[in-house]
Amino acid sequence: MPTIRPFILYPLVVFILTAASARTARAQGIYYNTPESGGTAGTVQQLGIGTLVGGLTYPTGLAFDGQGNLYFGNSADPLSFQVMERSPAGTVTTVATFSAGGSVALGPWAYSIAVSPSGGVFYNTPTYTDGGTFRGEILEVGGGVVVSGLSYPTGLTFDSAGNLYFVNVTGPASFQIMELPIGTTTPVNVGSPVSVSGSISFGAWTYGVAVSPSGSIFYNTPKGGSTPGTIQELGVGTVVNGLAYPTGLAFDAAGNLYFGDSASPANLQIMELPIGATTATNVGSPFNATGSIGLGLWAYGLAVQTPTVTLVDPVPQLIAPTSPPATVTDPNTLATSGRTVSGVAADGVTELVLRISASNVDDQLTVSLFNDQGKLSTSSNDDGALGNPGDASFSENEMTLSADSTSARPMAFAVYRAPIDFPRASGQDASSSSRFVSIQVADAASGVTTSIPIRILRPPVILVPGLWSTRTAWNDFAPLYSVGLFGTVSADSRFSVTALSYDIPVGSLLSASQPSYKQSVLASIHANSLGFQYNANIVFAAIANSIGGFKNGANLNNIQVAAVQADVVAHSLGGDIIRYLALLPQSSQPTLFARGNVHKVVTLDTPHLGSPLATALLMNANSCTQGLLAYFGDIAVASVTFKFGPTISNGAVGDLSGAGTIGGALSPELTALMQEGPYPIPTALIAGETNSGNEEDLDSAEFPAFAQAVCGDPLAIDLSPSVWDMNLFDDAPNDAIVPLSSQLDGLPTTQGVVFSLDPATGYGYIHSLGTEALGFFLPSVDTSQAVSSEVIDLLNTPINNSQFNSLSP
Amino acid sequence: MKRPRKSSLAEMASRINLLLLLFALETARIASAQQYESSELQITSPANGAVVNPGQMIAVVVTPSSGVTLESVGIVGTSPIGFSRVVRLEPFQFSIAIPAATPAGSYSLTAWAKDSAGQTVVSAPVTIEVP
Repeated sequence: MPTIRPFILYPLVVFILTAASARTARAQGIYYNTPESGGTAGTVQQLGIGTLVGGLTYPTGLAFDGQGNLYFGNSADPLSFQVMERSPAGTVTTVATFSAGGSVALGPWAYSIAVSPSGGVFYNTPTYTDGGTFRGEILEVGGGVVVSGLSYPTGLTFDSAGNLYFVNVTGPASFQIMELPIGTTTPVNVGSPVSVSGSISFGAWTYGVAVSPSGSIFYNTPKGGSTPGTIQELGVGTVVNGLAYPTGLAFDAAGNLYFGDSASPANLQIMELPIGATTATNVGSPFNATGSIGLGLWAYGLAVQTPTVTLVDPVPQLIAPTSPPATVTDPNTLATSGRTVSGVAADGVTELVLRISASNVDDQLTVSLFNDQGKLSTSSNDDGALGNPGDASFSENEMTLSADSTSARPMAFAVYRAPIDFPRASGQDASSSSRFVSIQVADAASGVTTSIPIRILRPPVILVPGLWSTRTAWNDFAPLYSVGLFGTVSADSRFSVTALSYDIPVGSLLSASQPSYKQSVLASIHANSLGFQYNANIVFAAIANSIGGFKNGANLNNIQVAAVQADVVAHSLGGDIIRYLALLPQSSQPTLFARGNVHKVVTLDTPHLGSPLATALLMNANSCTQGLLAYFGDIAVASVTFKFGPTISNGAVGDLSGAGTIGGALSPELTALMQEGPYPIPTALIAGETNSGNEEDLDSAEFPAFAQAVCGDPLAIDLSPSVWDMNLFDDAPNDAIVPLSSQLDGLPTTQGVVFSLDPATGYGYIHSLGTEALGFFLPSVDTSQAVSSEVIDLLNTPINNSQFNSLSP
Repeated sequence: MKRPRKSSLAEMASRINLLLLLFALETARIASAQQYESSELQITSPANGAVVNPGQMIAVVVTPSSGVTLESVGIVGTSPIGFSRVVRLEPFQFSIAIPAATPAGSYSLTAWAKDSAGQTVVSAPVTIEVP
């Protein structure tokens, strides 16, 4: 039985380095491993994307071949090692195994892997005993031992000519840089750098090597005593200082150097040293162990996939103000501007620039779009589509590009447009928070093929409340969204949900209103009492702000993404405001591709055609009830006058005034929503309908009793069973506030989802929780689990389904 | 079965174009909630600025002005206090609960009533302080 020498029973730090060959510009495809810790399995990850391979123990030694296969090692214990291969389609297989015959010796329990330019996969063993002989080896998968008699080899890497470089560690603080020239079997010492000064923390004995595109050899030294870890260029000296235990050096083709740095066994930072720079920056801190790392297995590896495809969000720097808006076409601008991302929101509008490095100008590159089954895409709706920079429409699944000369290097460019929606028609995405497509680039000259995934995210979901309401109106809208007693937000884990408000206080800005209110009431007016246009500007900005956060990592995958639009769930007035967004000039700005910032909307009980109740609230005859409501902040105004700036703004109740039926009277703003706008917003309609049960307490409820006693105006008197329906709605179906026909925008009931009977109570559905205060019995659409579940179903329904109506706007 | 009456509201709605009613409004046609403020009644207890604790019941007394007859009176407190019951005969005394979860701050109480002429009248507000 193999034995482990006592000294490795201490915390052993082993960094294993892997530098993939590098050919292209700054890489986006950065891969690394995490070790098993605290019961959490080891993994192989892509920075910004997430887990590619799970269920591992102590992986390390990442390296790509030219076909996009990712090789890595996995060790269950110091004496064994598996060389594993992950194909671009995600299939993982074991291609070689190693098992030490005796015991593994001192310290550097370091395995690494490198792939030669011709595709050979090489790996090293640590020094181990076999028949009483200590030996460290380098082997080729399928080819046996290549080099033997080494001390503790690690950090294997090839240059572009096929020469193999590695570190041979002779003690914790001393090492050699070795070169195995192509075609030979005897490595030569090309550098015996000065031994590391000071004692190295036991187990933090980490060395790596990488060869830059120009052929320079880089390696790292670990921290020794008070001397920090460094990155060195062989024959030149220190390139980066002040590190802890760097490892996993890898260049991209542009010459940017990536490496890992760990201050302790339990964490990993991914560092980038841009070409020509002397200061490395942290481009990701993707790993903090949840528990202790197993003995001696502090092993991190890094690889950069080449040739590199960089996904670039073109907004705003790469957008041209053309009509229609599109990305710029200038290669130098495309090569140098924009924000690197790893995913898109599935809104059918968002675009990505695919920045593809090439070896030479005029190199021919074939770019293909593959679906999540590894097949060439056959659906631009489901998978998105490809086009050229400057295009305004996209339909291709494969393109051949010719590399241009740019100020950076030869590059080719394509544009990817996101899928029209996250859910696909067959329903396979209902339980997912993200999915993938992949871009494959084949270099005709070299035969090298690279594959890079694009993570497809659901657009962020924005909840917009109604009249006189705030985001708290959504506090009881589980399972999609709810807020607990102590402000704890719970949202369906598939969706990135934000509830917004447009309740900023505006009373101090007002000098008058119609109808007029006493000063104390006027001063208490909030924006949620004002009209469509005023609040559309607020809501537009709030949605843009939310999308901005989503783009910068505030999403379920915590990754940088490109995103233009959000999905919206809007209650009552909120639905009218969302539709009004299309009429705002800012919705036509080029950075939104002139398509606004709303992808689709689900309206709940929205008065698309107004409500007679709004009309009644502004009538002189009902001014007492109007005043009573105002006392509680429910201030009905037809208009307000500002002290400064725009002198008059509509009030919400004024804008909501309408007969509620097609052909009936409508406020000017509702009339504007009926006109054909610049683009339609796919809209699903949810409606509520009461029955007599909801009204059976009206005669004795607090508000009607009070209003009838002290006001006695028509509106107060109408707050009575059946009278309310008859006098406000002519006995037409309604939710106590809005006629059903208005909630459905005059469309037949088959075009919406009508909630008319709650099986638990036998009642219908009232407009809102606030409606209960008028004396109506719940349930309400904005606090109903059934309605919330229906909203989730609609969010999981693609916009080309007939449940989404193209309203104008 | 008794058929509820059609209110004047519905009659109006059926007779006129609501759109015109709303959006060709002259100022004179728009109601003013403050038109109901009246000296016909006062809240005589509690005193303006009285301090009350969450969870406490407070007695509110409404007194008509001399010669004024009130037919129904109620108290409205700013949220979360809410409405009182309606009292139709003197003395117009109310017991108002200050909800236990009421945050510290100033709240106002107002008496709403109908006078003998059937007109709505509203008192000047009285402010109470919740510490």
